[in-house]
Amino acid sequence: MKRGDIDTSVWVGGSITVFAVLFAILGFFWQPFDPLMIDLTSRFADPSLAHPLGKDGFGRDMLSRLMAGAWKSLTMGFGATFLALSIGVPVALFAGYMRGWVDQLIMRVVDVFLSIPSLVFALIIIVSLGTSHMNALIALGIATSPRFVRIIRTIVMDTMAHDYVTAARARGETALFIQYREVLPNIWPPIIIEGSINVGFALMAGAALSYLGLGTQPPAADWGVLVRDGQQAINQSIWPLLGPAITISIAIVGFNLLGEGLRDQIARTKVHEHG
Amino acid sequence: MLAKIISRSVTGLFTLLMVSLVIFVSTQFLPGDAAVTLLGDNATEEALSHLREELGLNEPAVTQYLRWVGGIVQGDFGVSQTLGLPIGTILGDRFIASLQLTILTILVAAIVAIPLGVLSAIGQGSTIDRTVLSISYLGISIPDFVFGPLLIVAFALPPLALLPSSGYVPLSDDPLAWLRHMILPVTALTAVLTAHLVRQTRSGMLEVLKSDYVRTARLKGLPERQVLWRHCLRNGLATTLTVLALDLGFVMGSIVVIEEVFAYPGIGRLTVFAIGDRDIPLIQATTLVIAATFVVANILADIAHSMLNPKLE
Repeated sequence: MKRGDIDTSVWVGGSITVFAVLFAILGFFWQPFDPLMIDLTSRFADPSLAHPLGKDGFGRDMLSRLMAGAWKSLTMGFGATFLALSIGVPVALFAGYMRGWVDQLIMRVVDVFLSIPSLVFALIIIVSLGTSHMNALIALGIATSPRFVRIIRTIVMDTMAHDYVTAARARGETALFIQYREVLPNIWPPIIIEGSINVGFALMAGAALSYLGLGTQPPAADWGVLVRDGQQAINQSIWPLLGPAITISIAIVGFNLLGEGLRDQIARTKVHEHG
Repeated sequence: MLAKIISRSVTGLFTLLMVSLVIFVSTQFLPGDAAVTLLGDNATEEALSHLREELGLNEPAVTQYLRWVGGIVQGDFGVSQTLGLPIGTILGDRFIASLQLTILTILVAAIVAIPLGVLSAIGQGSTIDRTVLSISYLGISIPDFVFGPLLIVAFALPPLALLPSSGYVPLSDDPLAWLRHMILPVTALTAVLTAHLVRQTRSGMLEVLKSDYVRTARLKGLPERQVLWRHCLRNGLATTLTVLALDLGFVMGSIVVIEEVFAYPGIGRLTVFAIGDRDIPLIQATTLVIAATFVVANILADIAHSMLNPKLE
């Protein structure tokens, strides 16, 4: 595909996403200063050449904390989405393949889960798991999976109507073979698109859980913890709030642009194919 | 219409029962002993067994669930372990406080988003359209817990210091103070909702504008104004209403966060407090009330939708 064929939104969103991922990977291995190093002589230091984002109330370098936090926040976004897909895709394949009362039963259960707001659902799961970065990730993954079941099941049902699936059935292939060898390979594009849209949401919701004190636990910090610490310090300095606030917003703009841009582009390509 | 209302209420009631089961199962049977969690490792065996008795932890799971649901039906939500008060007495005021936030948010979002979405769709590709789209993009991308603190910095701190940064005053005590406390939280809650609603209204309207019956109405020579008002808006609004009802789930989650940002004494903040203190009866009550509000709102939206658009029947 020529570069001219790619939407601006996909291009911009993709660049921001790649940059955010590189930033997080770099932050996992290296930060300019130790993000936990306390220096009470330089509390709330304004931005300077050595500390471009200033320092927080413990004199910790904000850029270093932001870089270490990027890894925590992005693993939350990608990890929760990966878990949601690992639950959602098999259930959707099964329901879409079986149809009939099995499908109806699964969808009624999905409807019940969907009638609990996902952040509240995540909170309920956290009650039984306890508060930590990993548990917030698991809770978000479970809480967002019903939405995937509903979306992907519809796609599975459309795919099941194709001739190659009918042919596989006529050959006497097993249910598992049809679900994972015939249907799944053909529905990757929509799965990846829905997944990438979810990464932005999961990143945001994961940081919100940490903001509430129910995700990543101090002294470790993801972007949600940093925003909360920043808010508590606004009477002394706005820098500890501004750095993480701007970073997380840009990252989410990037993920949304990429996901929705890809979705629009595929929708347009389909229109072209059909007429 | 009556049949529709009845059938929707019955399925809604069933959904609510199932939701209560999900909440109960995932919070009641925690790994480890709930009594030990509450009283700490140093508690005497006597105190522990007394608490287990009090919480009904020795009974079979089904009995525990039925007693919980049975109590709620009669308005008894149990006793908060940390506050030592009947939960029913705490819940009322908190729920009303949150309801005010929710209703104001929906009203403001609808009043701002629907005209903007319609304007945007009518002038597709125009400067207005592009501006509205870009701003709404920022709106859906800035997280509520980021926008809230930024609003505080801008409007509650010097040099402006126009509005209070936190708290709540009941409307009946002092209407002006009430309004001043509502503005920032409602603005923060409205941002994402408005942005999403604008985009949905716009795409809903674009679809209607392209539809056959709008073309027919135009070909019949109806004045453009009449085409827009009578044919487009009615259908566009039905779509917007559905979107709004679904978005309410997002707003209910957002309320938990925003109440924490602005130290607003609603049901969301109570939930976070309860989880922090592992106050299980309180967690069960607050999450159930939040989920129930969402279910009821969806039923109402469904019924309103079929009233606006009887052709769907």
